[in-house]
Order: sequence, then C-alpha cells, then structure tokens
Amino acid sequence: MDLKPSEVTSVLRKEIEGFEGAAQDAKVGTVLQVGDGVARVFGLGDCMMSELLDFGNGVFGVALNLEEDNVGAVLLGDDTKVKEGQVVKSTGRIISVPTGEALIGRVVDALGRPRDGRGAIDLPESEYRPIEGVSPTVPERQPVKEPLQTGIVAIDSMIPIGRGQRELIIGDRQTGKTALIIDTIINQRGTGGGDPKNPEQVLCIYVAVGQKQSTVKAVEKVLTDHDAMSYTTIVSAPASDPASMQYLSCYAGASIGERFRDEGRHVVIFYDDLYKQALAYRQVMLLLRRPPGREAFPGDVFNLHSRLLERAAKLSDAKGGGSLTALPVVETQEGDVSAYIPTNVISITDGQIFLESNLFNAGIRPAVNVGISVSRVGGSAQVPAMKKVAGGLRLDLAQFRELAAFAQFGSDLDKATLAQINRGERLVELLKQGQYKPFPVEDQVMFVYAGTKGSLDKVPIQEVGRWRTEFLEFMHADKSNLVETLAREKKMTDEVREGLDRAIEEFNAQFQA
Amino acid sequence: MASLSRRYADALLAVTEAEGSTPGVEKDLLLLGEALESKELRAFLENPAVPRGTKAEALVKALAAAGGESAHPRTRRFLEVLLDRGRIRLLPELCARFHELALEARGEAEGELFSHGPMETEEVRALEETLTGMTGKKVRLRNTVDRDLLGGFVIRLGDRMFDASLKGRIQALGARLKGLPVERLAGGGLDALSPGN
Repeated sequence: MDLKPSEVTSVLRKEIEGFEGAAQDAKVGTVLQVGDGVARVFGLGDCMMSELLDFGNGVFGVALNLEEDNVGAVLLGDDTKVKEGQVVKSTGRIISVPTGEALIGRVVDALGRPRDGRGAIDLPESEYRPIEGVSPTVPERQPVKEPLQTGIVAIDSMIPIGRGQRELIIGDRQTGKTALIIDTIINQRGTGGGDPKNPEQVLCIYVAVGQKQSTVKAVEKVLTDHDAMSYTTIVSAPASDPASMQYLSCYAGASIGERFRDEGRHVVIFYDDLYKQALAYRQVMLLLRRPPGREAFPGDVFNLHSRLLERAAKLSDAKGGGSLTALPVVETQEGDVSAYIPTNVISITDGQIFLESNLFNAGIRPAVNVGISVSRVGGSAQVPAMKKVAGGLRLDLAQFRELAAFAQFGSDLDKATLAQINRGERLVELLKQGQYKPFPVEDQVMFVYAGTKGSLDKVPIQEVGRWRTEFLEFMHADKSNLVETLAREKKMTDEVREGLDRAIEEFNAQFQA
Repeated sequence: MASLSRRYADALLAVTEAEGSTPGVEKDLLLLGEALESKELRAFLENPAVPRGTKAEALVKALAAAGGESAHPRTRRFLEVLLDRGRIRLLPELCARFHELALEARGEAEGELFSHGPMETEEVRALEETLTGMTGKKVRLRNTVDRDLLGGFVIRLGDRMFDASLKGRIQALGARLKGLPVERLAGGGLDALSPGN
C-alpha cells in the first residue's frame, strides 16, 4: 500500500474548504435508561417504527417499541458509549442496507458495513434498501420451474430444489449442514462460470448468524480457494455482535438478495442458522419487556421467520422472472424436530432436508435421510433426464430400507430379497460424496442410471466409489459426445439411453474389480 | 408513572381553566417544583411516619416562604388530594407536566437556548420571533451558557433541536471525512480511515 501524505492532505483540505456547515434541525429525545443493548428514550415525538436513531459516538439504534411517552430501541453498537440523559437524534431513515454489485464478493455486517478490511462500500442513498421488505404478491409470482442444482446427488435426484423455493436444512450439530451449503455455493460456479456480470450466474448470499468469527473466516477461505467468492456475499453477524445485529442480519441479507431478484437475476440465500436468530430475537424482545410465550420466545416469533422466508420467490415474467431461493438452516438439539422453532420453520418452508448424526457417524456423507426428507415443489423444476432415473432410485432405496430392517433378524432370505438388499447397498454407496466435490447434473444422471439399472450389482461394495470415479473419467474421455448431448438436452431420449447402455457395458467389461 | 402524572395534570388543568385559576396554580406549582429539588423536602414528603396534614401544611408554608405570598386555595386542595391518594411521589413530575400543559393551552412554548457566551437580549428576541414564525406558537427561550459548544448556539424546543454550534459543525465535518471513499484518499489504500474497519 502506497500512502502519500501530501495527497491525503490535499484531499482533506478540499473537503474542508467545500464543507458548508449549515445549522441542523433534528427531532431529538433523551436517553432515560440504557443497558443490556436496549435503551428507552423520552421524546422523539414523530419517531417511526424501525427508524434508525443516532445515539452519537457512532452508535446507532433501531426504534422497536413506540409507546405513549417513550421509545424502546435496540442498540446496534457498544451500549457502554451511551449515557443516561444523552441526546438521541432521529435520522428520518428506516434501517437500510446498501445493495447492488458492489456487495458481491464482500463480507459485510447487518448494516452493510465491510467486515473484510477491503475498504468502504461507498454507495449513494439511492442504492440503499430498507431491510424489512414487502414480499411479492400473488400476481407478481409464478410457480417454480427452474432447477437449482446443489451438485449433491442425494439432493438433486430425490429432494430437488427449484429456483424460488424455500427448502429447510435441518439437523443436529456436526451433521454437515454448513458443508452442504458450501458445496451448493461452489456448484453454482457452473451456472455462469463464476462471472457475476453473466446474467446466467446464480448469485449466492451466505448469512452467518451467531457463529464464531473463525468459522465465518474459514467459510470465506474455502469459498475463495474454490473461486466461489466472486459471486458470493457473506453477511456476517458473529456471536460477538450485539443480539440486535444478529437478528437483523437475515433481513439485511434478504434485502441484498431482493435487489438482484428484482433485476431478473437468480439468487440463492442461506440463513445459517434461524435457531440462533430466534434466540437473538428472544433476547432483545425480553429486554424490551415484550411478553414471553412458549419457550420464552415472543409471540411473533413465527412471523419473524415467515415474513423472512416469504421474501423468497420466483417472479413472474412481467416482473423480470428473477428468483430468490432460500435455504434456511435450523439446528436441532438431540434430533428433536418437534421443538418450537423447528416445527415453525418446517411448516413455513416447501420441504426439508434432514441430516442425521447416526448416518453421519456411519460414514454416509452427506448424511441426508432420504426417507423423511421431502421437497414439495422442486419436482416440477427437476431436469427431465434426472426425473426419469430418480424415480427408480427412490423406489429401490425405500424397498431396501424396509428389507434391511427385516434382514437384521438374520433369517434365511430368498433370492429376490437378497438382490434387492444387494442393490440398495450399492445405491447408498453411490450416493456418498466427498466434500467440495459437487457433480454436474449430467454426471449424476449417468451414474444414477447405471445404479438403478443394476449395472453395479456385481461390483463389490467397497469398490463402488472407485467404479464411479473411473466410469465418469471413461465417459468424459471416450464418450464425450454422449455427455455433451445429455448436458445440452437434459432429456433421456432413446438415443441417449441406448448410448449409455452400450457405454456402461463397455466400461464394465474393462473395469478391474 | 409518566401517564399517571399526565392524568392528574390534565384533571387539574380542566378544573383551573373552568374557574380561571390557572395562572395562580401554575405559579405555585413552578415554585414547588424548584423547592422539590431539595432532597430533604422529598424525603420528608415520602416519609410515611409524618401525618398527611403536617405534610400539606409544610408544603404550603414552603410555598409562602419561596413566593412571598400565600398559596392559592386550589393548590392547597390539590396537594391534599395527592396526599390522600398516596400520589405525592408524582409531585415533581406533575409540576413540570402542568406547566407544559398550561403553556400549550395558551399557545406558548418554552425552549432552552444554549450558547457559548451570554447572548444579547435583542438576539434572543430575534431568535424567539423566528421560532414563533416557524412553529406557530409563542416561543420563549431561556438562555444558558455552555462553554462546551466552542461557539454559536443550540436551541432545544420540545422534541426539536436546532444546532448552530461550532461543536456540531466540527462533528458533522468529522463524520463526513470519516465517510470519505478510501480510493479518493490514497489510490485504494488507507483502510484505517474507512468507517467499517
């Protein structure tokens, strides 16, 4: 970094000369009470709901309780800098964040201020959006119709996600929830080559709520290493931030995403995680003395999440056809999905992906329980070829699960049952996938087709992974025409099917088990 | 608490307006408000061991001592009501509330004028006239000297604040310089000056 003091001085001098210090006229109030990140302010007659309040010393607050003769506000900064009797100025502005291309590739906080040490995000007022947005109305929407490829076979085949959908990722700690998100972000590189200006590129927003700063940094590093930061924005509200910033960060992220959605772009946003956000909201609301309800959460905790997730949408063609896909995460305690927040979010979203620790510990990674995971709308958006092959996969796995339970009794099994179990074990193996290794959809179609057709039934279980790797290598090297046709047309035509059958036969003949 | 004192003040104003005793009662309550700055008096009033009659008597005497003349009979009766209902704690706030309401009823407003040095009477009057034009209420300003302002003045009028002080301008300039885009300062460097870092 080259710093020339003389340049700095001259710029500062120009600014000072051009500065017109007009008298300021502002609505003010006085701090009555401050503590635990909330303040009560006397005065502020015409204060608006969610208005940004200036407490001086660079500390801002948001008005949340408008009462008869005082205003309850949460502080967005250090509450030790605010003193009783201090003057509070209203800003006349609803709390808002900067939006637009300048945010891509950046790490920002809930107010859109940079957190990555790469300089200020200097945008005019017109580029700001209020963080609480109104979700699109019914006529402004259309049904989900395009797929959002996560690059994870188990999900793209059996729990397909469409652009504009809301799919919950739920599971205990240490079950690979964040890993699934990172893989999905990395896989979006395939949509537009990682160029944020390419209209085909799906943009990603990762909202980290209440996490360790080191975790956020690690995510940023992985994304940078995989060239995925060029189309990603991270909104970070780590555990060290005030609770107010933690609960507002999700809305800030949604506003940043909505800007792109309204410009006709495709955006996917990850809220990691909404349970921590609800905890932060509970803290703020209890301190503001709103009455507690079940599990001490305030009464509007359902609305807290529903209004956030309603902002995900596939817009109508008249509105530009953009989409905002939301993949919220909820962490469960000991697999208890019937707790308050998990049931709320399950009922709001269009499906859920269950991650289970016993699957994870058994080496099945991603630890998706495909039996109870569902996607309510994504099926209509699935790639036709995948739709065709995935039907058999789902059926085979369901039968396998049923039989595997019986087989544990150790009784003699007939041939057909054994074959079914045999097939199931290979399919489970086929769905295992390494971290940061998303598969393009055409690759997924090819090996899922092979698996459901029974072409792997003779391959030993421990060799399935190697079979898959070598098969894909073989296809890309020797049958690139077929792969290209499949990638382009995305349909399982007779021609493609015959080509695949022949290729699989050819490969199996040379495969050294 | 605040809404309670407002209810009492509203009721008192309704009574005094009807019988035309507002100015007398207002004067009494203003004096009482000043007298209540003393901790001893407040402790005395809140002490449950002292009989109510004694408290009322003492308050009226304190008024007479401060104002030189005897208290308005309505004030005395009002104080007795407060003592009777056990609401004497509200008195300091009530005095201020009643004054505000009485001012509003007369279409007047009182503000504070903080200035670096004492201001000329004419200057204050000119400011009062300007503010009267702006708010549509007859504005009266109380001038207080505040050396912290460095120069100029600040007016606090209810919920509004007009800042024409040197301190305010320097703070505004500071905020502006801090918000300068980094690139303009040193070709992409100088992170330390950007507001987010």
